Amino acid sequence: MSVFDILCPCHAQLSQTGHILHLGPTLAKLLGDTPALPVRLLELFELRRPHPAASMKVLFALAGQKLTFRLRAAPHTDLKAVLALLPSGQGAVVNFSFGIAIQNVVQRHSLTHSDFAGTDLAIEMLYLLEAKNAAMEASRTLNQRLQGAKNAAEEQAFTDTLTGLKNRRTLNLVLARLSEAKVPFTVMQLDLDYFKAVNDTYGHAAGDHVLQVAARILVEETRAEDTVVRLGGDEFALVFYNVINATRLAKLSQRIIERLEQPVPFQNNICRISGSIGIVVFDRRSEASPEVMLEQSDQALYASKKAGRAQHSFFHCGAA
Amino acid sequence: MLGLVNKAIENFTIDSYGDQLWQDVVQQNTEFEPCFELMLKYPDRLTFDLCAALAAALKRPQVDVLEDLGTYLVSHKNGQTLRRLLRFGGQSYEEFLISLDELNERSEIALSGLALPALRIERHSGALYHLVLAQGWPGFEAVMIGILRALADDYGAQVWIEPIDPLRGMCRIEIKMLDASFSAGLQFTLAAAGAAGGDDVGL
Repeated sequence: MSVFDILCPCHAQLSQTGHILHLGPTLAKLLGDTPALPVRLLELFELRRPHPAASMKVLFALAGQKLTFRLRAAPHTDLKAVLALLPSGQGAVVNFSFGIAIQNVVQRHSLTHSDFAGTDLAIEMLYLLEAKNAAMEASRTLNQRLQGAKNAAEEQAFTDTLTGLKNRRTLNLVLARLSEAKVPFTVMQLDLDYFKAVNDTYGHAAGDHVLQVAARILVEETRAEDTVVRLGGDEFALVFYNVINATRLAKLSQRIIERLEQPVPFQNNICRISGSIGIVVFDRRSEASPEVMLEQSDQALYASKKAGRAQHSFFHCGAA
Repeated sequence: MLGLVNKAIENFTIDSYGDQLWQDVVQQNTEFEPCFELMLKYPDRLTFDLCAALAAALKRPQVDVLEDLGTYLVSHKNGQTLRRLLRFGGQSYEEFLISLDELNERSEIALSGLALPALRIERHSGALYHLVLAQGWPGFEAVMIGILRALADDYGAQVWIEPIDPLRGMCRIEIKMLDASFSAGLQFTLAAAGAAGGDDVGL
């Protein structure tokens, strides 16, 4: 074994004409079917960096510089290299290495420990890559678990536990987002009428049941892109995304009230409620803050109650 | 102690003896977690108590259980990461033994904060080695014996491995090479198919 084969097993010795006189054992392995020597280096490898070279004269002029070659035969592996001239026109030696793609090259060419010089850091590099991947995988699964826990906690923080509807925090976020997005939308506030009587007469269990039934009706009467919120007690708010047509909103309100008025059996009792609704429409030009929007829908709701409950009213500027 | 060590004990228990036994072990101490986090730090004492609790639950001497843990860490299908990382140490079992001199640096680079007890290899002849361990983790030498035996099988080497009496506060494990190529061993390629990750961390 020559000195070079031990010190740099991935090298080639070249004649002055650029023909390969000797292949180091690792380079021979890389080439697969060992070519009959001598063969021109540039016939087996294409010089890509710093620039293509067709003649050995050009290549020899790049002695000492960082070079990138590509195997002309499949699998067209890219190799880093440096070329050193031998004294008094005896040709040159090119030493190859694998750079950052080492894992692929090693796998593709089935390289083993003995294909690397004893001083080569390649094995340590491969060790590090695997250690890094294992650690990344561990931290990735941890992050996924934490993300899942965070989502569950957030979902809880934004949800009303009795009805499964969203809560006031969500409403503020949705209103802020919609007004910023300049999308037309409608806010509806709804209070259940006679709810207090149900609670007082039949107890809290009956009241809770009625709230759940009402919540289900509201969810059924809205689309997935709308938001249904329980503000607290018997107060609800609905946000309709991209809906501002007054006729449509009026019909929807009537239908919700009709459904709320259907008697709700609970144990041996029949609970009866209704609903009052206040509506405010925001077109693209509105610049009201979420607080103002809620205040306006609240004014419309108050108008409905004042007019005898079980009905809806629209907010009009200066009407209240 | 890095949670990884506790997790290894957890995985070993569940894979070897089933989930129920692990639940029984965890019940013994409120500080034990049913599911340890790999990257979190836990008090060292907790790990030692966990080993004692496991041995008690199995009604077996702790050294035997810990040696089985060492074997499990490199030979179970869920432990491929550690097996591979150790096999980067060398192409033969003897090269691997010599690479143990770097194990502290290697483990620290793979997972900073692991803080394995200091260890070094002494070569007394071509066939006789001593692995010398500082006494940071009680029972660690038993785990190392399991690892060394399992890796000998992995490399296809026939070896005789026994603990010898501690000297000057250091534990010693004697390794006698009987036949370096006793069997074909298991295949190891530098870049495993799918080396780009996906294996559980089986350390």
